[in-house]
Amino acid sequence: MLETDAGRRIELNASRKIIPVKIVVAGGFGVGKTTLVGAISEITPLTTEAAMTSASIGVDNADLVGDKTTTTVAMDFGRITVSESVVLYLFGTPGQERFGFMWDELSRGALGAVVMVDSRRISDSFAALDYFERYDIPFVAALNCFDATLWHDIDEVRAALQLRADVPLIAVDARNRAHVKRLLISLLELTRARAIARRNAR
Amino acid sequence: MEDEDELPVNLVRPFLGRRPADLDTGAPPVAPGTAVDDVGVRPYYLTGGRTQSANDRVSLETVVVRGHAALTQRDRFQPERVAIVELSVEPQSMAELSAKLRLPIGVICVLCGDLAEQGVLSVNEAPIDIADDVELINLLIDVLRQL
Repeated sequence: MLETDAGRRIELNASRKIIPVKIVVAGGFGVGKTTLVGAISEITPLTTEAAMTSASIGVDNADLVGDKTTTTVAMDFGRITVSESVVLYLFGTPGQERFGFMWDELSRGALGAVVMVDSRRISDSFAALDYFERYDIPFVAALNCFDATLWHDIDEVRAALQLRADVPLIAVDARNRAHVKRLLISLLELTRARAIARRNAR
Repeated sequence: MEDEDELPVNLVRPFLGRRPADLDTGAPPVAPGTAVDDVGVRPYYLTGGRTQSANDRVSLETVVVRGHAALTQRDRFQPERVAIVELSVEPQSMAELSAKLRLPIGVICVLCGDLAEQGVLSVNEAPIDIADDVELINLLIDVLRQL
């Protein structure tokens, strides 16, 4: 159930056809994905897990043959009930490159993505940036300002990330609900602009 | 709620690789690389070894609710299926069921795929071209502005 500032309560209506939509929040380990999701989610972020044997990860390592180790990929997520029939999920995804295959599943049907960047560990976000660029999924880059400190000049960060001109880079405090709100709205405006462009092209 | 500085609390911790008893005591998960044979029931036992859902559109955000049919006599003896059906009085996504029942997402998708085939659950998923739905995107933007 969602309670807006205006005191409006929204609950999904189980007797209606429900449309679940999602936004992916990607970035390196410890960059603040769960914090960002928690700042806007109506539920405390939950964790879901996928278990994979080493074979299914596709790591070509002879040492692992015949070994039964299992790797776990954990994803934190939150929820925003948008209307009686629409619910938005925010999925925080593991940033490690080797789990890239999981992003296929996540990105299928996603409205867009937020790539979180820590300017002190910029290369941690490269895998996610490459992925969303390659598959042409609308995304915004969020520069997380830990303790309200911008460690580097935002234009320098933009240059270091080699972002395309049409990709917004927005400085946020991932704990701040108003910041996260603005970030998600920027992303959805990008998604909308793309949808309108595709409609006009038809 | 603006400018709230509090970090989220009570995050549900990762659960794979723990015995059920550890979940109650809050014991840490086993070290990465520990053979899963050492830790309780293999989750895919519950699916009869299947890792793919009968419905290949079932995804993390797919929402299920109670359908028209009742659980079969046999499934009533499987607590995981019973729990899914009980939770689905309220609409639940695969991800939420996975977190609440502490089962891997793949297992939940297979079990829900079965239950949907039997009509015990009804499946709700977004159309494939959802990102082209300008009206829906406008609704999302409006609601986010009001938060």
